Amino acid sequence: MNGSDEKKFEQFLRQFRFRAPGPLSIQRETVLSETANRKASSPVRVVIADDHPIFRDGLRRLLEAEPDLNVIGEANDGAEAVRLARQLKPDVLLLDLAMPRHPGLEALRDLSRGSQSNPVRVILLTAAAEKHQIVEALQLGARGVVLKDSATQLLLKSIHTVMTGEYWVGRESVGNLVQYLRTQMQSSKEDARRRTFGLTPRELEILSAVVAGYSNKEIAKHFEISEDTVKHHLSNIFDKLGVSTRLEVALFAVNHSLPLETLA
Amino acid sequence: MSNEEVRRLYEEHAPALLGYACALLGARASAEDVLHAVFLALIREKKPLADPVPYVFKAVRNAALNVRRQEARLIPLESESDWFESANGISELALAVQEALITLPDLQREVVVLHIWCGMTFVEIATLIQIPSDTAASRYRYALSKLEELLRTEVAE
Repeated sequence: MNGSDEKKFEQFLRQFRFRAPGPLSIQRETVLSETANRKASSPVRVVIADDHPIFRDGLRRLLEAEPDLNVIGEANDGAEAVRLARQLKPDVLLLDLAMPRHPGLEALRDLSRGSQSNPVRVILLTAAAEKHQIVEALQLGARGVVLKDSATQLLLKSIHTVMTGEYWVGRESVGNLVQYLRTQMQSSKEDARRRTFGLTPRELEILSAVVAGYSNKEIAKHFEISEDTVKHHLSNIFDKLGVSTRLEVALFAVNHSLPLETLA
Repeated sequence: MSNEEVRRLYEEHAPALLGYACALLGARASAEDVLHAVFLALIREKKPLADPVPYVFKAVRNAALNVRRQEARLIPLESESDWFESANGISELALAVQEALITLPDLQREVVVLHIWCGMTFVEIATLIQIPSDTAASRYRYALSKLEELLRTEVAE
């Protein structure tokens, strides 16, 4: 390229701008936001439920080091967690999945059965992510799943994320979850209903490929279409189903038993 | 740095930093995680920074390279979601640029993103990634030439 061509090409590239990231998860709730600064007297109220006192104590110290978090209660089993959630009405309940007597999922079930909707945002803490349990937990209303060996910052980020009304599923769990959903899709094929939410047969084929874990490039190759066409179909699928990510579309497909096909 | 200073730094530089992290990691979700982790650390540490912009670029680079090392097997360098805003509503063109960038070797992609979209000079890039500025410039020329070849049709249209 000569100098003039180079300048023109640089100009061509510069017309594209990187999409801005979302706000820092804590931005709306805590220190970064001026509004939050005014609300500094009302930090996020957290209850910790875990059957291991040492872990609970460590977690409490960790959370209390944050100016915007306040641990208002600790429970050593699920039953106590439910009682504290109803009594103290915390903003966030950090709930251990595997507790003796009354484990996390039982507690979640109790909370979801409450006569009035409980506003507490539940984040499941788990040492090992059991895929079916994560799916069930999300169905029962959990807002987040965090692996116990996650970095501290991720736990803090998950709390602030669920406080903004969003979901948090730790990256490793997502990987497992997608794998699980793929298996689920295969086993639930016979039960598939005819409801297609307005998806065309072609869009259902593309959706099947997405759920089966194919990349856009692989889908394009499989159906002998261009990647742009795949993206166009995906954009229509996302619009029709009201989702915005591949994980969401997979969850939607499972929850609504969409009639997906096995790719040859 | 005060929280207000961190907030301003984030608002002014987050898109470029995210673009840079995307260039290093390939996956936008991981890039955003890295970016947030860096800024959350800034908030927590509250340490005074004489020259915060180069510092955050360096911090994002270090964090992204750590993630890349840890998750080398887990994060394929493919486009999971759009990096760019659509220029004049033409999302296909933006995607073509993204895909062309992804095909570049890591070292070239890093330099071209820093120069074109983060507005850095070759000297600044050289300081950031610790290479001679001539090397930065030559990587840039190679990258630009490859991109031009990959995007020739799109540019012509």
